[in-house]
Amino acid sequence: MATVKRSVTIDPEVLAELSPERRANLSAAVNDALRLLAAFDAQQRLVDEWEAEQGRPFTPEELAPYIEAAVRAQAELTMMVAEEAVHRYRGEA
Amino acid sequence: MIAAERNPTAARCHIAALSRVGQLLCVPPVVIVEARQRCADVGAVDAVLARMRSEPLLPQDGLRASDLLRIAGRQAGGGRAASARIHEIGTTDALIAAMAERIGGIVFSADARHLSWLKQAGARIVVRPVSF
Repeated sequence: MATVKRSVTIDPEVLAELSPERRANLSAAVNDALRLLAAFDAQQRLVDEWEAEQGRPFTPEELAPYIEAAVRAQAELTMMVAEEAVHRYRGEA
Repeated sequence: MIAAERNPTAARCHIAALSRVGQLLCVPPVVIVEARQRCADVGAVDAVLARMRSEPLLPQDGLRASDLLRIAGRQAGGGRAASARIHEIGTTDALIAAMAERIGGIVFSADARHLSWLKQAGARIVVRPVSF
């Protein structure tokens, strides 16, 4: 795969928080992070295009049930992960 | 993706809502196969698929999917009931559950029954039915 070189400035505190494995291959870590951001931007562009197509943004009323479902799911996921962490901490299976 | 063709407006609102709350919709290869196979207009589905993040399936997802199916089968009662349950859930949903578990994801599905069985079998996933 063709690659390009870019010079970037990184906050040293951010760099210090990275695991040794990520610091050892910083290019891979930057690529992973940028891939995620690019995917999110592509998803947002799609939404922008749909809004342009319909001539108005999605209204809060239209999005409310979907936002509620997404937030509830995220909360459930967070709870699940937290409960697993507590079980691990207590040495439970 | 499959439900999106039945109700494009709802599907668009769903994706817009995910964007608003900072969630990213990931599409594994098995969903691409199902979506293109079951849709009436491949072009329309491809146009959306091209913009979604695709998430590769790994061999470890296959192993995990197989384990989940076996457990779900046992939970159905073994024997013919197990076979019927495994067949009903299908490889696609088992792979989706395994991938979602690996990336720590939420599975949105128009038919959440199969995924709920996989969750009961031990899949560490959040299943959220969609209304379209």
